[in-house]
Amino acid sequence: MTYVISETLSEYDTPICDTLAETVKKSLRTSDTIGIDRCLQCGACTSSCPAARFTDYNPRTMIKRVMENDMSVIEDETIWNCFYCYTCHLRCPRNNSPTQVVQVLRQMAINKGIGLDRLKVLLEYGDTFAELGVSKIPDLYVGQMEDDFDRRWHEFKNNLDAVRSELGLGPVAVRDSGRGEIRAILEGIGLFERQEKLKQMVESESDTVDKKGQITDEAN
Amino acid sequence: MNHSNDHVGVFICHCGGNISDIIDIRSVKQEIRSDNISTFDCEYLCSNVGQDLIKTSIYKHSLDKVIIGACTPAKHEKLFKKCVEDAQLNASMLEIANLREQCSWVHPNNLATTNKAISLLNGKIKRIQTALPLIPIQIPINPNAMVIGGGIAGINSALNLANNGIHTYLIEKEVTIGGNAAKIGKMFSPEKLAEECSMCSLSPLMNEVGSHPNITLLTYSEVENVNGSAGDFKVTIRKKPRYVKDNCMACGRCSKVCPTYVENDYNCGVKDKKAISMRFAQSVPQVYSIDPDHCIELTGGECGKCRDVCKVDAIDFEQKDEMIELDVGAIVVATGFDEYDASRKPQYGYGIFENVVTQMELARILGVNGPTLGKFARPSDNSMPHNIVMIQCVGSRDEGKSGNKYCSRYCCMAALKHASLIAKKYPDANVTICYIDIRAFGLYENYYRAVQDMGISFVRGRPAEVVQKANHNLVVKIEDTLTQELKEIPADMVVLSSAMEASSGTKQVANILNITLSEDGFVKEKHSKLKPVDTSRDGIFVCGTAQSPKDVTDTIAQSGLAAARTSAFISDKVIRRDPQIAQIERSLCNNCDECLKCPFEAISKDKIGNVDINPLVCNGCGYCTKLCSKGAISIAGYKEEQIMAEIDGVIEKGDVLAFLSREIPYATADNIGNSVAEYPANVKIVQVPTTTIITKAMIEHAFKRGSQAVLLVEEPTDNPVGSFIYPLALENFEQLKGELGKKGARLHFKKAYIPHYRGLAETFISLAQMEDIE
Repeated sequence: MTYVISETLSEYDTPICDTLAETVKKSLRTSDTIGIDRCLQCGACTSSCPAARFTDYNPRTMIKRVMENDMSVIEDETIWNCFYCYTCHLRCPRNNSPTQVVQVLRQMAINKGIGLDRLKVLLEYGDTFAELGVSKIPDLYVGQMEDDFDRRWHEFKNNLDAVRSELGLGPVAVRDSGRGEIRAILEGIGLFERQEKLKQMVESESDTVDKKGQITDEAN
Repeated sequence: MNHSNDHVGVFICHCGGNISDIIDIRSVKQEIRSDNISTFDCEYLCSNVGQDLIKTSIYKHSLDKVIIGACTPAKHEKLFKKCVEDAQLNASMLEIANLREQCSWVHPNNLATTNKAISLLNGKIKRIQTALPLIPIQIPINPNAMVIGGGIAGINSALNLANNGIHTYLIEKEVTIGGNAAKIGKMFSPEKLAEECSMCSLSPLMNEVGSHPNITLLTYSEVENVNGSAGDFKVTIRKKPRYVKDNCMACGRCSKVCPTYVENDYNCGVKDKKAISMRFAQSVPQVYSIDPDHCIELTGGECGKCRDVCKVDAIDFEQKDEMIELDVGAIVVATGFDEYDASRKPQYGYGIFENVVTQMELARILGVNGPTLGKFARPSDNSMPHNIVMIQCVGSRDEGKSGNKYCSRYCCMAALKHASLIAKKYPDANVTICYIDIRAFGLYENYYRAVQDMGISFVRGRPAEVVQKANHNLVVKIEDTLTQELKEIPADMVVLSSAMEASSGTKQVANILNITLSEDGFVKEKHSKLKPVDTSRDGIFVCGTAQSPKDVTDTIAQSGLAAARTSAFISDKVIRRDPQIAQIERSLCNNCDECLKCPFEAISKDKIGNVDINPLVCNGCGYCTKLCSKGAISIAGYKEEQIMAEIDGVIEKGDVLAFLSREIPYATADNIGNSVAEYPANVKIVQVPTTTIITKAMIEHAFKRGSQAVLLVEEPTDNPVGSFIYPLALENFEQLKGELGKKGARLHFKKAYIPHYRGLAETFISLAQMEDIE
């Protein structure tokens, strides 16, 4: 069973091309100058990657599989482990960006109905954007941050504006008038519509997953 | 101007049958001969017999002008010019009709070919009637040379020049020559596994520079300004005050009594130098100098201890900047490199963690004259590091904003060299090299193999970051991409193989000299293979790391070449330029300044506001004739009336007229002949500087004479002229096509490549056939 979010959007998001690498390069989600063809396989991404440190996700081999047109990479669960810290993007000596590439792969996965369970928690981002004009760590992760960082997490959270001002940055909150504008933009680009569809997909997916978390035949 | 009464001699070469087997020379002569035109023929005009025939006939028949019908002018034009000059005629009183490559070799043996030969000669006869004598351009060359930069490239260039008998000024901005090569203790070489002592190679050369009768060494001096052009540069040098006179005996008493310690940039900024010092023991000249920013006396205090102990009264606190004017014929730029600032990669901790150093700093630490006097010690606590991790490509092969795209070419070998030095002297030490690719090019592979045998570890991957732990110890985080393992390699010291960058001095000097830099900031050579040490300006050459990153071996080779090129340029004594360049008729000029758009920047305004054409820069492309609406600018030898006259003689009804630019397109047409390909004899070629000089009047004239089609063939964009001219020529073509209205359909445009002669031949064929059908 294949889901297609919207014909027009996938044209920009995951354009159909001869190779995975072409789709990645043409996708709106990646920079025009992305250097995927020039990847040296140097591993600067992987050694910098927090997700690679704690899971089997390896941005270098992920890029290699894209370059080799290995379609199975879309179904690889590890692509959901990247949490967009953009360190690989910053450190790649070839202007490649594994974190952007993984976004295209995830969209391709979603189009195929794969990984919807991992998508669920991320859907909150859209709501926060609409409400506050900026993203916010999803509730599910907040507890984890407290576990990991304890007191320091609260100190950071409570003194965020002070920390930002020390770094020469303004307050993180968006002015009320700005929020309205952001909301209008999000509406204009069809984010809410898309989010609604995704939510439905995620829900119908959960219905077909049995209690052990196995996907039933029906879903495939 | 009509010179139709002049006596013209037409000499036709048989070329041992190459021409005479195809073209009926007897009927050509009959057809051409007239009262004012005498005809001659010869088996081989290029032979001594042939040359004598030309010279004696000029005298015997009082010839005013000479036409030669022979092979392509590319082959023997110089020889025949010399013939007519020997017989006291001006060289522009000679025209050559290309009867071989563009006639007998490309057409079959029939009447049409002979008729084409007649028309080609007729074209030249008509053309030469309008010719005026041209004076060859000669500019004397100043016999002195200047080398900017006293590193190993500049030293070697200056010595080569001086040994060649050329007086050379060597300009160095530091207090001593030696440059970066003086900092590295040991050098690697392609043919041996042993590392050589670099000072042992360098010091004798430095001393030779210091004492060479043909070298004037100006240290602590910078090029302030350069005027003039090739052969005649006027240079202003600013010589900074050392506050020590040249009679210094270098006894060192001053330094002993000096109370002020300063940072020693020769030793990576360690404060082990006095305010009065010599940069290093082998400095040339052997003269101390005072650091004015730290000397007590010079910063307003009272000290003068050095002055008191100096036995030769060499200390002079009153010294000032001195401006020196030099006249030189040619310049060598040898301004070297700067080491990449590794703090631009904060993830590696350079400048944050004390025990992160660069390869250049490690070279100083390992050097016996370095900050630790040769003791292998790490900066934080002077203890010997046991685990050393080197990180390659820091700032190289990096497209990001904080890096350089290129490979710096020396760093793999420098890392291998330092790994080898450490492994040999300290067998307990563990050296790990983190690399992406090891580039031990050419014979260096032997050295790489030898270092591998020493037990050095190689980990393939670009590290993410360096982290500092307790006791200033470090950890290098890396993915070993060959095993997919994430590793954290403990290190007592991390060595960054920092990129080589174009030095700030290179950028400064290039700006003063107005020479072109590559996008990476190095001095761009004119042609990477054919002219590797010529810069964008004549008379200015480049070598060493000012031109691109390279090691000492390559630097020496290239600096020798730069000296040879400079020497050859100066030894010519005069610059000769063909007179076929732009000339201005000032009385017609209305100072509209349009011609200043010259793409080669050959045209400027002089002090009193007149248009001035630089004969050394102008290549006679003719684009300015297009820009000038007053007809004030023309190309000598290619005036409109001369081209019209040639069209008059050459074109007959049904012909295809091909205007070929004089370099690549003309040579490509010759190459059709060389390759025994064919095209119809009604295709007639007229050579032009570039097709930008073609006017509507010329094309209309060709049409009026019966030409069915006109083809413009331009220099390709990868030729030095074509790179600027091709787009302008295309623009000119499109404009002409528009102006010609309906007839514009008969005007065609193409670019040529020498190896692709078949393409040009096919165009000729299709144009000739197309018009046949019509």
